Amino acid sequence: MRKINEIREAYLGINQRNVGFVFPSNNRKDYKLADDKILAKKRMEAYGIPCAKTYAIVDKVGSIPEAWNSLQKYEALAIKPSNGSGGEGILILKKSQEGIWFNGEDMISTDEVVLHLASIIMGFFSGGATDRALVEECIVPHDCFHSIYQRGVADIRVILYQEKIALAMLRLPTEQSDGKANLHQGGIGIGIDIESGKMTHGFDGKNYHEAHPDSKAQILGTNIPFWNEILSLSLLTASKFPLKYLGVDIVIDKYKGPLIMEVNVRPGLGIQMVNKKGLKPILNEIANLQK
Amino acid sequence: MKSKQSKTGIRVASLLMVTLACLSIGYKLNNGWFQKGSQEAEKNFQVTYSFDYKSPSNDAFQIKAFLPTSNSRQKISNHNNDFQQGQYTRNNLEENTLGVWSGNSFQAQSKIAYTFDVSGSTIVYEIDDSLMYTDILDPFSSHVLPSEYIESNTEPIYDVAEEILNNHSGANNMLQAIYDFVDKIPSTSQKELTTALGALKQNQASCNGKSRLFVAICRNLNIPARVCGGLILNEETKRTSHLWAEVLILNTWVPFDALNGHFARIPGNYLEVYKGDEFFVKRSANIEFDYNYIIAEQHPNLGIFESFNMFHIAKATGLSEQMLSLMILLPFGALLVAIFRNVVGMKTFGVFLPILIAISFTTTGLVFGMISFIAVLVIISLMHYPMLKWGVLHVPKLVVMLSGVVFLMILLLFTGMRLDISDASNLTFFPIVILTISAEKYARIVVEEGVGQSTRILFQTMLVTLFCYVIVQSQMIFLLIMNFPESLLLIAVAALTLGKWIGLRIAEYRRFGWILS
Repeated sequence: MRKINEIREAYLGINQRNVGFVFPSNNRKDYKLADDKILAKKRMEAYGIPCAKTYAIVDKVGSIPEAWNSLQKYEALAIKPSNGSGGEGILILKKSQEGIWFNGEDMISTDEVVLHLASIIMGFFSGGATDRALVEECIVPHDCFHSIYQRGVADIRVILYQEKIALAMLRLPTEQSDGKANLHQGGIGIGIDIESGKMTHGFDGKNYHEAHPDSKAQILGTNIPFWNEILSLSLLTASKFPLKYLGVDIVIDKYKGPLIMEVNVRPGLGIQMVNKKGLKPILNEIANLQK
Repeated sequence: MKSKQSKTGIRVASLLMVTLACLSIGYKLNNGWFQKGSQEAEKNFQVTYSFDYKSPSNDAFQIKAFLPTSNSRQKISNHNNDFQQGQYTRNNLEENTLGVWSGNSFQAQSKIAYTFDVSGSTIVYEIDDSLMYTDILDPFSSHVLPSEYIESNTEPIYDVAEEILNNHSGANNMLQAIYDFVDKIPSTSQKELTTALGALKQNQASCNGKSRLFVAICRNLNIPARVCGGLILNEETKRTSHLWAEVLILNTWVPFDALNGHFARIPGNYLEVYKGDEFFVKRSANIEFDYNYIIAEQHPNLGIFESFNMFHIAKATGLSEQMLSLMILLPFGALLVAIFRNVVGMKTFGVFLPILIAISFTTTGLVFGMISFIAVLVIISLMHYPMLKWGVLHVPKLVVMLSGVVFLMILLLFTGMRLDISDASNLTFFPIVILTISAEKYARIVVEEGVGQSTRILFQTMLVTLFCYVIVQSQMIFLLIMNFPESLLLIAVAALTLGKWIGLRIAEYRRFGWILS
């Protein structure tokens, strides 16, 4: 019984997240500013928030060949559906020294790229509704996390309420997640102590770890690089979006430092488990500060 | 500020809906307007005896017709006699009431219109199986004597009766045997008078021949019986009256109508007019005469609250009760699904799939339905993989899968037809479109989150479906929603409350719970 009360007082459930925070804090018409990657990018660019450079926006099947020609000057690209979810439909392309495009280990032909862009526009990744394709700079992951794990791209999720930081976590890929940092795809979430910017435990969805399960590198107590920049970048983003409850995803680029990758209106609640910390008292405290 | 306003709004709306629903339900209950099922409600008719006559001379003439009276199963009211040219008397005879219209003046053409209202109810008698033939015979009754058209003492009738007597001893069995014997005689619609013997010899008869034969066999066996005359009430104008039989069983006259298949039963639209082998209408020979019975159904004038009842709406509109009840059960089931999702934290394929599937299970049967549902879902979701590999777009992919579902249904129907499995045809009740969308979703979850997760969701969907099935099958809930369609307001309020409920889902207690342990 004591345990149930403890859970009830500390942890935020989906019902309360939606009714108590997402709905009253965010106007429905503003959701698309976060849900639509192109709208989010445009807003970030307008306010000078660091993010990956936009190379092209393709919204018509007819303009694909022209767009593809103009993209040939770049060495690496990320193609994303503007309204995709869960990382679906994202294509990372890199040019070899001979000038041939590769997707990972596989060569990819112009036809295949054109088909992928057409699929995005025709709504293959957005539940049937027509969509736009966003082509942007391909992030080069900073080597600051290489001491823990070398493959894939790490990202940092920060949840903000009323422009105050509530919780944060670092997501790292594992062998099991195949380079992806998403928690339910096998990535590992690492809690962050916001005051000190130090990592706490790693959480793989079942167990807590003090070291990375593959590399065995120490996690607990390790500093998050660029922590102050990450904090100020999160706060800047929150102040420039009309969303009072949101999650921001940050990656650290080798050359540009922390960049905003995505803004999320309904950030997941698993972050509480990663941090072993419920959101409720934190959000209540922020709400009280506002009064 | 904003959240405070929305709270007042939702409270006022909820309170209003609850009050409205409770007042309406309370008012209905207080008046006893609760139907325990779709029992054949009383029907009301207005009947007019319409007589046209022409008297070519100045001689006196008479027209006589039996008049119905109220009894325990029929109520006669609002008599109205429209007859200006002569004298009318109403005579109470031993068993019947006779109306007599008499006149003597020369008239070109005249009319009599005798009108009354009827409301009748169906009565079904149970004849105790322990009752013996000897318990119902009465050789001293006047109702076992032969009469002009009921020749119960003749040889052919005697042969039939003896055959029945030799093979039966229980009263119920014996009456059933007599009934069956009469029932087997081919029916005709001839209007001429047929005697009991005539019906037997010609081996065909209309109502009057069959009723007389039934009575004649009973009387031959010393069972008191009589014919009974009246009208079958339907919205029409006609000249045919009807005759059936009655048997005296333990001081009760029990009706039998072998022509229309009523064994110890009289339907609500039978108007009893006279007892005994009489003529409905008689008249002097010196007039030209024509007659009609004009029958009009009267629709009861119910108040707003009394008629706001799905049984009533079904009857008045001709829609099926089952369809109407399922219509109301849809939001009922959806609320249940919402509770399972938002309070328990279960995952289901879609909000409406469980309730729709549960409804289709009522026709397919639970076990057969479940097996075929899962089979269709899995087989169709297999179609997803090659199309994913080929990169087929979403909407065209759905069309392919829909074709697959329909084709699979037809194959199952076809197999059922070839193997003579009647259950297979019930499969067509599956909500095909929803099933297709679910199959697609199922397949996508298998791809994105693995077989384990998709199986878990499928299992939870089936569990919720099972609960929905219990609701859909419940007789109590059927009666509640049929009598009180305003209960939808309560469902809406419950859903509104659920929509503002911020408690942790039960599954979330588990999810967060073990962090502490």
